[in-house]
Amino acid sequence: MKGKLNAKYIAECGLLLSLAVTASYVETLIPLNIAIPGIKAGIANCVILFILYRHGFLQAVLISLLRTVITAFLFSGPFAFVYSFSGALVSILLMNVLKKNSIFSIYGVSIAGGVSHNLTQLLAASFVLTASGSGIRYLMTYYLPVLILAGMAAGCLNALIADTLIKRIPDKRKQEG
Amino acid sequence: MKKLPVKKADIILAAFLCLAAFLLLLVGGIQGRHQDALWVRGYLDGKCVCEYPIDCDIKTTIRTPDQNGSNVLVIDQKKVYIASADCPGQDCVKMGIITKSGEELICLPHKLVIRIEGGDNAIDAISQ
Ligand SMILES: [Zn+2]
Repeated sequence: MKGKLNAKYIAECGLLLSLAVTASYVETLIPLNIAIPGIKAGIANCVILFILYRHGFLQAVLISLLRTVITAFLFSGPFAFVYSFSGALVSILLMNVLKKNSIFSIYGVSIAGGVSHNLTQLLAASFVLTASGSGIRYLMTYYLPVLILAGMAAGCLNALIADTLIKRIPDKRKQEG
Repeated sequence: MKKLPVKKADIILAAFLCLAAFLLLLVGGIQGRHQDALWVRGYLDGKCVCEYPIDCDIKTTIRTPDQNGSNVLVIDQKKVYIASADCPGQDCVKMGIITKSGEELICLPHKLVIRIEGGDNAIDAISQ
């Protein structure tokens, strides 16, 4: 961790952050917000996945949380911020645990991340949107299966993208070290 | 990293999630068929942007695509109304409560229509 806050590290974070925000913007163009406005497919997670594998947990958390703040200001608004912030936080914590465990490949890690991302968003949405228990039960019954499947699909896609990026983009730090 | 991109645990996880989703779909389908359900749908400029069953208690903000306008939709004990809005005139708020299939709440400045659909009136709602 020594000497990490140098100009190069900050520049790298800025670059990765702008990439993550761009991916979030692309995501806003995909309309998945039928029924629960603000819930997103989680395609932007491929950038976070790449950062988690290449740059490590702390940087991934930092970029992920900054991304949700910026996208809330730019596109989505305060309600969606609650969903995406909690979704991002839970999924990245889970992905980090599973990655360390190493019984899963990047695909399993990404699927778990995608599904937990969506389920956390649903849970957050049911707290934000509904005034009583009936709403939560309804959201769970109707949207849980859809969000599980969507999370798996997004997870597979993210893993494919991140895996390709990791293989194609040379790790500069390894070359230098 | 090994040659094979996917590990055994990945496949077990995916299979488990698929099974869970399938079972939940089954449970949801059975529950859905038992009731002649009424739905509350929100349309912005003719496009359906949200739907809720009428028996869920919900309070949600519907925003116009340009994010400049918003209407707060409330479904409370099968009563549907716009609690507040930032449109000029506030006509949608003044429309009060709707409860029956086919009834609508309209906010012209925001091009928003809230309609109760399903039940006896299902065919009317589809052909609109
Ligand atoms: Zn109005």
